[in-house]
Amino acid sequence: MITVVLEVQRRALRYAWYNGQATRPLAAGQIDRVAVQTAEEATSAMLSAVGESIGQEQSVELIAVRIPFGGKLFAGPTRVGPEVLAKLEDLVPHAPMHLPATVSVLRACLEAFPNVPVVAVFDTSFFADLPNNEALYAVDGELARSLDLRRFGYHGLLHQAACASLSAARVPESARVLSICLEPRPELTAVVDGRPVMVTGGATPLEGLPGERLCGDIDPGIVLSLTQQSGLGLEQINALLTQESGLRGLVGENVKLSEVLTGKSAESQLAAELFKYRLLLAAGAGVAAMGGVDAIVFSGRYHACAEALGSWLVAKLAAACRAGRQQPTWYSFADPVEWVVASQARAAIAS
Amino acid sequence: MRILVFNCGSSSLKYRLIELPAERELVAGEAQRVGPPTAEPSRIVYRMGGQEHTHYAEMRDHASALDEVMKLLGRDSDLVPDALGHRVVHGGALFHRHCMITDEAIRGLDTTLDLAPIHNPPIVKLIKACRELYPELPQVAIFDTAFHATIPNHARTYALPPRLREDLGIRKYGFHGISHQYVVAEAARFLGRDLDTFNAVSCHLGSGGASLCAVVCGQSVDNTMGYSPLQGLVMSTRCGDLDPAVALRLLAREYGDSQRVNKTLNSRSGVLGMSGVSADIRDVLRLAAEENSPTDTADVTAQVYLWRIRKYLGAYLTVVGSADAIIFTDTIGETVPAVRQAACEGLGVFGVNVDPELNAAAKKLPADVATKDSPVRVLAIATNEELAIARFSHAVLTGEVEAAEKGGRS
Repeated sequence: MITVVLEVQRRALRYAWYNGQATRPLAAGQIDRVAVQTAEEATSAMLSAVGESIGQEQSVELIAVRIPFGGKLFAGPTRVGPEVLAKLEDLVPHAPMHLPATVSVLRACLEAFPNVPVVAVFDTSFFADLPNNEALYAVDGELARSLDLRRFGYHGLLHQAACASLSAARVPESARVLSICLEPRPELTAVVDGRPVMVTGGATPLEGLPGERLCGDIDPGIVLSLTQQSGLGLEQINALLTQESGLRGLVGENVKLSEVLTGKSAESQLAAELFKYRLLLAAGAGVAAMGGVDAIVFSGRYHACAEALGSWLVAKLAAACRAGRQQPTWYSFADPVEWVVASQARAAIAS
Repeated sequence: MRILVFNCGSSSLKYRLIELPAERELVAGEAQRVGPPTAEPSRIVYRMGGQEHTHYAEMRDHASALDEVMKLLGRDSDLVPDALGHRVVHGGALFHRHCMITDEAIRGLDTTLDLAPIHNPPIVKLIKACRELYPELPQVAIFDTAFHATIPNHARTYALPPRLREDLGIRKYGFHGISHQYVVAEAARFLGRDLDTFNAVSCHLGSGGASLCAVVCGQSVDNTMGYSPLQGLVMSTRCGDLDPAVALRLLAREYGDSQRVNKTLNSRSGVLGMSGVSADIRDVLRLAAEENSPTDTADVTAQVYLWRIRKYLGAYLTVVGSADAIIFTDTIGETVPAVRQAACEGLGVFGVNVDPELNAAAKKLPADVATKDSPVRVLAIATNEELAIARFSHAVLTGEVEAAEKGGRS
């Protein structure tokens, strides 16, 4: 009984498959889309890889596809059929890099496995009901509606998994939680009663904490200024802000978040101080949004950096929070996102 | 010493003549419709000895407006200024403190014009005209950005490639510094605290622009405005924080026309854009109080406006560590108790507790509207940028630059 997890990335189709409830994948890897050209070809290459690997006696029970953006339409994992494909096509303007290829992958899966459920699992679902005061931008109402402008978070799956792990660690469901996802695009969200009330991510993942290559929050006036002063076109500015900024922009080369936090060069140290400062601002905003904080949870591929950040953040918050006698406790969990996608999809089918 | 304070707008010139150190206002006026002829004649409206006067004169540029103002003052030998203090919106990366205007300072000011293309050129022109027409009068430049020169590197740096940071001067400058510097000093004095150990979050909530400033030991350590005055809080017509990808998307929609997008985000967003009815949050709060459906546009606008302040208060209270006070100032901060109350909601965890009755009743400023046992005091303090400019100018002129930098009189 195999669950296949798929994710379309910029240049690759990533896959992992799990046997039953196992938390570790039987196998994982990626198909280079540049080499095989189309999403359909990548999917069939991947599916034949799955076939060879699992052999004839095992059968694919479920295909779970991770999708970065589902807007307000998809508030949870959704079984894919023609209607869902049409809705996803409507959302293409919001995630033009990912969605067209993802839709192709979904079609290819439905054709290759007509009897196997295909479930779309969205990073944004956790944030589909974000309160208006947090979700809305202060721009013209007509403009916001015509562009469907709204804030989302982009690591909802990992935040949800981290909160589930907190419950398993006997933290009450009613706890006020700062969930900090330490990924190449880091994100902080404030969660009360299992629901987010504040998140650093924006209409796109570009807003928020600085990432390994993303600029994160900047003055929107900078974007306007760049179009006038830098001589760069919009595509070039976009590439600059999404590929050459963040920690890379500060250090001068591609660098991992975990490396920056222990780096010794002056550039690394500035990058680390800047990242920690922005994390502190976001944490303070989150505490204000929740009216307090009971637990801090780190997740994501650099969750081990919690060793360097957890006690520091607790001490900083304790100094600012004078009313609370109890300090928040910090936790760190390692759930890989593929496993979270697989288990959410299984739960959706079972229910 | 009589200091003539100039606050120069694109088509206006506001002035105050203030006697220092007594801080007595002698004349307050404004040259209106400075520039090419408009439908109404250009004129100077001024208040002197409790009476309003209007003086009509052709003023084709700020130099001729200056000339008219000086002629008006020159009619009375008791009103001849001893020095000029200029409000300069943007000091760029060069001016870390308020300073005397020298040849070198003028060369420096010329390099700031690109950073503030709307605000700085008329100011610099006026300063040059003053030097030419009244070379004997000492002049002082008081910068909105100077108070923020103490913002540490990790807070003022954007995570952008070096060529943008170094070649184009893209960093946080911060604004409203004159007001923040003034009210922080006033707050410390009001509480009987030494400015050198005074920690606070200052909320300048104007009817137009608005920003929060984190203050440690009397010095600015962060400001919600950034490279430009567009970042941060929701303002009357400015959007404040916005996903940079949204700015790019708007530019793509307008085929890269940054002037149009600039207008959208600076003049048609914020409270005006969201509410669709008014740029003034007071109107919106009134509408929101009338209708009770939570999806009402006015209510949503008010919620977004207040929520942004509350989030930044949490962020800055955390950065400051142990704040002595939250300060509310300027039109909205001074006169709208509901904004103070709502912005501080849920901040009890930081030791911030507003007394609803004291807050609602606070008319005479300065006022402390926190509960008796609130560890963080919540203050409403009247800002006075003209007096601040006069005060800081006096300090520069008398050599107390250090004190001026920290906003203190003594």
